[in-house]
Amino acid sequence: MPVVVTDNCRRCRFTECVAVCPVACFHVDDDMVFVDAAACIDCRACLSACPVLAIYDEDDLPDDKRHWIAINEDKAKTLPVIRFKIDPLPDAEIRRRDLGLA
Amino acid sequence: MTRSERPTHDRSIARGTCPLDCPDTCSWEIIVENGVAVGIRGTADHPFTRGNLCAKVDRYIEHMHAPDRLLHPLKRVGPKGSGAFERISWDEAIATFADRLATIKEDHGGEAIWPYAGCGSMGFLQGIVGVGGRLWNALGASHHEPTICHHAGSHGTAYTMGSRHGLDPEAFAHARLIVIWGANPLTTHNHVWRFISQAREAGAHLVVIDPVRSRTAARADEHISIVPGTDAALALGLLNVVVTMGAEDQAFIAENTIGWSAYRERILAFPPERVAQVTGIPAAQIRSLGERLARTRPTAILTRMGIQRHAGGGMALRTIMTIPGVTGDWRHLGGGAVYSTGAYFGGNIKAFLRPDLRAKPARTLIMTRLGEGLLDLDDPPVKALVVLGANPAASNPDQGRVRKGLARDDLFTVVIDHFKTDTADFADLVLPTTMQPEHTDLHNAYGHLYLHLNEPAVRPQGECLPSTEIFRRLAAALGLTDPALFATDEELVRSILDSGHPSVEGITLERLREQGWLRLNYPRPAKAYPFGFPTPSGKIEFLSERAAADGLDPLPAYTPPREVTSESTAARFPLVLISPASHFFLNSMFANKPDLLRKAGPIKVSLHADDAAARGIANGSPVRVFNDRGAFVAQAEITDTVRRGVAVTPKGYWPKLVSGGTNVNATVEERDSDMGHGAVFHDNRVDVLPINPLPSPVAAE
Repeated sequence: MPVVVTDNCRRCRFTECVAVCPVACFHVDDDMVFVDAAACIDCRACLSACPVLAIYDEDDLPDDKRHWIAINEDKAKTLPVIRFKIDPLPDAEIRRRDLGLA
Repeated sequence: MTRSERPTHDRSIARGTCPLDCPDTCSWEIIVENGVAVGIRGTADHPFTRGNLCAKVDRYIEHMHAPDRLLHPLKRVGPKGSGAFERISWDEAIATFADRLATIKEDHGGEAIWPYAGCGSMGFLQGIVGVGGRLWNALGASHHEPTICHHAGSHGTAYTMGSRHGLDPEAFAHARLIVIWGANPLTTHNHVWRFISQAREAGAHLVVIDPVRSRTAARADEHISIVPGTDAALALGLLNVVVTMGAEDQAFIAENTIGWSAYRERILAFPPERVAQVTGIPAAQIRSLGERLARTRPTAILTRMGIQRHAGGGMALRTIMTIPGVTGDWRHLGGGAVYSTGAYFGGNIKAFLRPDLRAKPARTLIMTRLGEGLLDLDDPPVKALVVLGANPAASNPDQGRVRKGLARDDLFTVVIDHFKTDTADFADLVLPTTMQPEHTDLHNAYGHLYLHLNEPAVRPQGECLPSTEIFRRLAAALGLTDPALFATDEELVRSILDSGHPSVEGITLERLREQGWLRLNYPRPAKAYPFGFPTPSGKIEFLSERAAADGLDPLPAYTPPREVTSESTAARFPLVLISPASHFFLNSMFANKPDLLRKAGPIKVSLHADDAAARGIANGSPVRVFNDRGAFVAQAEITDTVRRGVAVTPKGYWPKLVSGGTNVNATVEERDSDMGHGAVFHDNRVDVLPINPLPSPVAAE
């Protein structure tokens, strides 16, 4: 898997990643987005686009976040593709502050 | 750009352009902190780049700062090929370079010098278009014909269409049927995918024709697996279905083409059943796509260089490019075909390269016949080889002969590059040149209609010099005085822009500086062939007298790939081997970058399960891939993505960095395609055998 979405996306869902993704490889639920590794082309534009640093290159994924590889894989199978940026979740800015990234 | 390099407001951002050999010619932003480049990203407001780069170039800054980057001039101190060098000053390097060239010119004439530029940069100033061009003209050097890429297809396209003003890739958003023919844009042209996706969201059907179920084919509505090199037969078969249905656009044909009745006869000779035997595609599938093509306007065809790397490559492009002329697609927004958009830019190449500096005509040397050029030529022999942005010891056909040629002790070789490549190991002098964020260049694209200016974002690493500066210093050391040889980079850019061509009217250096890029003067999307069809008749020439005069079939045809279709070769070497681009390398660039090399893994050869079983090859096991020309070591990958009888291996690996010391090009023949002296990388037969228990040494030739 080239890139992995992790827990920082939860309750934020800024979807800047979606705006910049050339291949629409993100899938979405009510809480966050997930990446379909088979569709991702590893351009990594989403890494720097994400305001809450939720997305990692798999090579740089910390050990305590490695379980997110399987979560992304599972979720991408069933959730719908998101092609266009949507509004962040209502508490996104609060969550971003809590993460120390405001 | 990595997450930790996320830009903040206290950093400065410099716009530039990706210089690499890719249709997308991205606009990029370099994030600079305290004079050091710390990050890179795609320019978000560029209409084609739209904020993303690719798996390779997202890591460009790391590559620029790599510990093995060349930072100082070097001279060879060991035998050729050993890679033993010592550091010298620029003064000594330039003095040696000039002395040797002057002596060779005196003894053997200017034609003994071969300025060998590759696709390391596509720039006008620092890259393949014109690097050193004025000086080579003044010295009377041999002309260098860069045949490694698009030449066969460009010549083929030109016979019928007059030029390469193909369909604007942005127009793909308006197509109802999209055919990607022998290309894998999700690896090699990813920015066109947004336009294709837009069309699909509106209901367009996407078909990919490829011998491999590539990354792109896997995401299409339909993948048609074809025997390599038989694309022209398929094109004629599809047109056969169109014509049999009476679906050709008779009004368009009458008004815009010549030779239709003769071409129609040719098309009628290719019914789906015959084409099925040639292409390996079931007749029903050919008929189904033909019927879809007949009833779908607009249809957009995307094709690139992969399908023309064989004995009939020029004719393949010529034939495919006739399809929209029969269906009338050229008259519809979103209809047509594209091989390259290179012709839209009307720069003043003559003023830039100054052919008038040349005292007399000189011979032309063929880039992809380097082995022959170094070993067989004697009129005069090549005595000086100046390699710029190329690694022919990795990238050229007949690797064994190329290396033998490079090893000639009487050959003076200079390599101007960023890294100590396989080829640099054979050089007398290795000169470190700047990378893109460190110099000025102007870039046209072959996959969109924007013109880009790239200016330095940071100071050069070490003692690296722009290639333009190396040639200015060389001209001075040679005692030459013509002011044209000392033009500044800015003057060179202005000379190209000052053409009077409508495509660049009003486009100045100053305006380019404002945002780094400008659209050429065409609407979005552009009308294909905006100046008509620049053939002798001014029409699409199904029947081409120029082709006939050149000894070719006057009509579009199926010219078979030579080795693929040779029964005697097939008896000894049953597998057709093709070598498309890796997702993690660009030609041979980045194949020395540790993280990308790790992602790519060892050289793999993909085999159909039946072909593997017949040879006792297990998935993941080491194999030797070979023919009479040479061999390389690979790891077998058993897969259902390739046809039975076809093997696939990625190009780009550096021989000196892989097990066995050779790559796929050790097996490829040094031979021309039917047009434009194009190379024949995909017209190759091999066999594959297991290596047990450990790899045995592979001969270099």
